[in-house]
Parts: sequence; C-alpha cells; structure tokens
Amino acid sequence: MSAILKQGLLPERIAGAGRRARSRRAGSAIRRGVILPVLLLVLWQITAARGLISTLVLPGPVQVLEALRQLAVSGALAGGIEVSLRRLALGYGLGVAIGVPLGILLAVSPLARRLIAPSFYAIARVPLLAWIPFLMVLFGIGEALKLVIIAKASLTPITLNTERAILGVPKAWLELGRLLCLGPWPTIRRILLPATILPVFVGLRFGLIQAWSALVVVELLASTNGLGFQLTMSRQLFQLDTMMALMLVIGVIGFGLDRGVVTAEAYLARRFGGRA
Amino acid sequence: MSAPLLTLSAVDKGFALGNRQRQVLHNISLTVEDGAFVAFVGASGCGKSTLLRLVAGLETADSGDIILADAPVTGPSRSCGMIFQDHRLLPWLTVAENIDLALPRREFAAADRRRLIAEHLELVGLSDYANALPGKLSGGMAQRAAIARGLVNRPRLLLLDEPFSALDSLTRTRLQGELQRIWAFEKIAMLLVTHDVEEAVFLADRVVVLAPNPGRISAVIDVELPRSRDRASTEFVALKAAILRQLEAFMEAPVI
Amino acid sequence: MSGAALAFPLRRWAARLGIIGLGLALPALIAVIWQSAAVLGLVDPTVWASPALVAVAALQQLQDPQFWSDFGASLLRDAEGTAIGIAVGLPAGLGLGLSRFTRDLFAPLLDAAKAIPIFTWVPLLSVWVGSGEAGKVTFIALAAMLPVLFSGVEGVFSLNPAHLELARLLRLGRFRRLARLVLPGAAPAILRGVRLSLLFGWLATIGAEYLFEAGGGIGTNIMAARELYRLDLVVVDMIAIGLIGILFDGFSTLLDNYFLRWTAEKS
Repeated sequence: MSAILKQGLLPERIAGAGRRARSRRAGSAIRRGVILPVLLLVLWQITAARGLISTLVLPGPVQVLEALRQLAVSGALAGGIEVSLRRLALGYGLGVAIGVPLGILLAVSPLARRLIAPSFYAIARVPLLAWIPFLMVLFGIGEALKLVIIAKASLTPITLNTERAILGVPKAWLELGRLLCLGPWPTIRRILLPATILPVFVGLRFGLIQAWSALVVVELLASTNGLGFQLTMSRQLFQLDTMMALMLVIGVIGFGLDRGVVTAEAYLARRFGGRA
Repeated sequence: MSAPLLTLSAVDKGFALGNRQRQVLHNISLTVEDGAFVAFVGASGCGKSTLLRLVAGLETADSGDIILADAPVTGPSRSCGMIFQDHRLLPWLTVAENIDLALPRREFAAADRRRLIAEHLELVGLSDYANALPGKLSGGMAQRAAIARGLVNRPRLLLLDEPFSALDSLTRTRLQGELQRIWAFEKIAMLLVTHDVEEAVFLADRVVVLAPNPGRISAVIDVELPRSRDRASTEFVALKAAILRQLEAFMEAPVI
Repeated sequence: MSGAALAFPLRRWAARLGIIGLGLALPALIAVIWQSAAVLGLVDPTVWASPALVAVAALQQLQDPQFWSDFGASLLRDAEGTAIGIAVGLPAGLGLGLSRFTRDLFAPLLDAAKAIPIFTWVPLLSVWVGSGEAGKVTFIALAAMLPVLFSGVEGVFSLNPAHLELARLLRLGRFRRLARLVLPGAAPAILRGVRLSLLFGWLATIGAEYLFEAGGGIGTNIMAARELYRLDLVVVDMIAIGLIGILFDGFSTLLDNYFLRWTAEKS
C-alpha cells in the first residue's frame, strides 16, 4: 500500500481500495447506470401515449410488450426461438468441431500450415457477407446453407485463436515437461490443456458472437422461419410493435449468450489460474 | 528577515485505506526559506511523498495550513515544480516538447519559449537531445529532462520525490552532483524526499527525519558542511550516522 | 567448388518457391478438380462455373464501365456512411470516456448496443429512414460508429494515471491536454477502433445493398448474379469485395505506422 502511496497515483485509486469501498462504488455506478435507460423509457412512453410520434412509426413500450406477449402466447415466439437456437447450435457446433482440430493442426504441423494456411487466410479474408451469394448458389436456400454460413462465421475466430493459443504456450513450460520426463498424455493434460484453455475459450466466445450475428443475417436474407425471418415479416406487414419486440428478443438472447460465455470464461480463469 | 517561502502549520492528512481511516501525516509544522535545500528521510509509509504532494497541491490537507509564496496552497501552482520517481515524460513528445509542456501557453511568446527551453536543456546537459524521443533516453537522461521541465517556468520551489531511486547507483551519484550544481546555479528552494540518507546529507541544508505511523517530524538535523561535500569526511559520516540512529529508533531491524 | 557455390543460391530459391508452391498446392488442386469436373460434365457447368469461366468473366467485368460505376457507387456510399459514423462516434467515445460519471451513465446502453447484432437494426431503419440511399447510409454510419465509440471510451480509460496527474500538476489547459495527452495516449485504442469501423462500414454497405432493394452497387450486383446462377460473376464480385477489405486493412496499418511512430522508438 505504501508503495502505491509513494508512486503518487490518483487518490481515487487509493482511497477506497477496499472491498466495502469498491462495492459502494459499484453500487453507485449501477444506480447511475439505471438513470438513463429509465429516463429514455419514460420519455418513450410519454411520446407514444401523447401521440407525439405516430404509433405506426414508434409504438410505445406498452404496445411492444403487448406484442411480445401475443407472440409468446401464440407460440410463434417459442417456435422462432427454437428454430434459431437449433440452427445456432448446429452451425456453431460444426464450427467448433472443425475449427479446434484445424487450429491444433495448423499450430502443430509446419507442413499443414504451409499447405492450408494461405488458402485459409484467403477464404477468411473474403467477408462472410460476400460468401453468402456464392453459397446460396451452391446450396440453395435450405437448412444446409444456414449451417454452412454459421459454421464458417464461427470457424475463423475459433481456428485462429486455437492456433495462436497453442503456439503461444511458452517454450519454457514445454521444456519443463521434457525435463520432468512427462509422457505425451500427461504433458497434454497437465501443461498444454491448462495453458491453452483460456485463449481457446476467447476464440470460442468470438466465434459464438459471430455465429449469432451470421444467423440473424442469414435469416433476414434467405429464410422462411426463425427469428430473423419473423423480423423481416413483421417489417413487411408494417407491424412495428412486433418488430421491436423481436428486436428485443434477439438482443436479449445475444446478450445472454455472451454473458453465459463470459461466466464460463471467468470460471475457467479461476480454475486454471492467471497465465504468466 | 523576509517571510519564509513555505510554511506548514499543524498539517494533518489521512486516507481511507480499505475499510479503515489511516492517518498518514500528523501535526507537521515546518518553514522553508527561499533558496533552502531541505531533505526528508524516513522509512516507507511515513508519508514523505504525501507531504510533497500536499505542498504541490495535488492533495488537500485534512487540517492545518500550507502557505507557499504568501498564498495558501489550493492546487498546483506556478510557484511549485515537481519531479517524480518515474520521469513522466510523455513518450510521444520529444524532450524539447516535453519541457515546453510546462510553459503556460499564453504567458510566453514563441521566441521566449525557445530560449528558455534551450537554456534549460543546456543546464541539465541535454542540448544534443532536444529532438530525441524519451524512449531513446537512458533513465538518468530522462530524469534530467524531467528536472529541466520542472525548472523551465522558474518556480520558486522544486519538489523532488525520490528522483533517483529508480536509477543505478553510478548514475545516482552523478545526478546528485548535477542536482547540487543546478541548485547552486538557479538558487531555487528544493524539497527532496529520499530514503537514501547519504543523498540527503550530501545535498541538503537541513534533514528532516520523519517517523512512521502516523508520519510526524521526529528530528531536524542541520547540515552545515560547505559544498561540495566529501562523502568520506568524518563530519559527513558522523552526520549520516546520527540520522541513521534516528531512523533506527523506529525500525525493528538495523538500517545499514 | 563452383558447383557448390552455384548450388547455394539455387537451393535458396528452390526453398522459397517450395514454400510458395506448397501454399498454392491446395488452391491449385481444387481449381484442377473443379475445372475437370466442369469439363467432364460431372457437375452442372451453369451452377459450378469452372475457374476458366470465372477468369473470363473477371476480364469482362474489368472492362465493363457499368461494373466500375456500380463499384464506385458502393464505395461512395461507404465513404459517406463511414465518415459520418466516425465523425460522430469518435468524439462521443472520447467525451463519454473522460468522465467516470458519463461512463457509468451510458454503460448499460452501450453494453446493450454491443449485444444486438448490427443487422437487427435494418428493418427498423428501413421504416424510420426509408430503404433508399438515406436508409443505407444511416445503417452504414451506425455500423461504423459503434467500434470507434467503444474504442474512444476504452482509449481514454486506458490513459496512464501518472500522465493525467502530470497534466494536473502543470495545469494544462483543456485543449492542450486533449492534443498533447489524451489523443496521443488513447491513439492505440482509437486506431484499433478505426480499423474495425472501416471494416464494419464496408460490410454494412454490402449488407445494406443486399437488404435494401433499390440503388446500384456491388452488393446489388452480386445478388442479381446469384439469382441468375452466374457463379462466375459472383466470384468476381466476391473477390472485389474482399480486396476492398484488404485495402482498408492496409490503410489502417498505414495509419498505425504514422500515428504510433513513437512506439517504435525503444532505446
């Protein structure tokens, strides 16, 4: 503590370094954070209720919630969520199943890297969006298309992060394994796995975010079911309240997925410790 | 006799550290005259840095008065420059631009600024490095640039917070000599905080010994040796030993 | 003696060719299989356009003024939207970041904005701003605004507190503090944001052209080619889109090298 004092850091970093002070600050941060959304919500409701802007263009929060309720009650919401999440799971699963081994392969074998990496980078360089028409020609607009697109979206970050994770294991640790005469399996289990699991997880997290975005795009463009399709449909039918309700759902799911992964990441960080 | 440059009266300062209130400084009273060199020594945690930061105006005292150049200290001011342990040169500005930063925009015309910067670069011996980036400087050179920045707008008081403790001992000795030369030349009051007793005795007119928990003045020892001082002389060694004895009284293990 | 002296540079060149060769091996293989399959009639040539056809189409497109005018229209749209997005997002990000109060105030909104996939906004924008040029440019601006907004906040947050204290000590004026301390200090983060903004702006341009029907552009073209099953044209457009992405990335690197010159200096 006196070292911190000596370096003369800003007082707010010293005063209130303890847990109670920190939670006090967090509490006030949360309180402050609530102000703006609540304010906006109230403004929104007033605008709609007073008819300041046509409810065709901006339905009020109450309307949106009502539309959400109707979606839920009619089962359309559940149906859409189920379709979309199933696609996500399959496509993302495919991406992980290909991406992780590919990343390992690229990291471990210089030959594979020289053979595959240039093509991989060339393919990754062309944005997913540009790939969509190409894949639509090849696969039509069925389920296969969506799976391939979502898989490709998650593939790039997963592969790259996995490769980097393995290449990033400090040589010193591998040397330690050799010194201690650990066999291949113990080396993997006790050195490689803990060392790489966090960076690989970062790739998995980015992959999931990309997969969810790709899902939304492909459902907007070329789908007859799922949340993205429902979003487009409600736009066509000029049902703004339904549309905003769906936007809310999509946002919440995206947020939830991210939070879930972040929590898992935090757990892994605690379990496998901070890396050097 | 004119009013002293700096007066501290019964200054108290505490911090909330964790869940408790920690009294860092208690009842500090002190005067410093123009052109004096006062060193503060003490173990870690006795509030030496905090004292300097209070004088600089970076912190406010809980109670007591701090009067600098006939005005109470309410915040950083023109009268006071400060050197930190880390040189705090902005890495994207050249040495000259870093020094220029200390000159208030409106008060100096461009020609004056150039002159002042050149003068102070020469004072610290960095004339050849005016356009160098801090990344290219050694620790000692960077600290010298920081000193130039601290002096360029002619403050009446320069505060130095362990300026040389991050440097290797050879550079430290050299810079101590440099600082003494600069002090004699500029005739500017200096407050030095250091944990190196030899450095304090070498440079200062007065050495203030601070005791920890809470930080308070335990002794003030005058150094009346003529400059430039011989570190090996008997008087020097005796003074150093006397100060160390004062410090040891507050430590569990003897200080070497 | 002379044989060995000759052999060494030859060997080096062979090694270099070998590395390049290996990299080309896979694409070359695929191209050969593809071309043979088309020639041998194993696959429907109208769907699986052979590499030869693609090359021919590419040459044709490059000579077609309509192609360039459409390409130009897309780039113009992209430039407008991205410029607006960055011009709004960067100051906003810096401003938000500079005070803990504003950061806390806007934090939940920003987190929410980050969580919603950008294309979710398209239907809403098409109602509010229309599905013409204005709608497209608004969407592009939104896509370009977010990365630079977040990076602005992050950049300010990552400023060295020692430097901020120095600014307090030297009593630097607001403008000087911004120009000499905040912007250079936040530059690494800001440049990362700009890189993403350029990329996302371009992606948003293409996406907007997919989803908003009217108006010309390379996105519209590629979709039209798809409907006609002209895979050769699709591939040409794909490559064009990818090349712009690479160009933007290279430009971002140039920006990095210019603004972060000082980071290279280490004694």
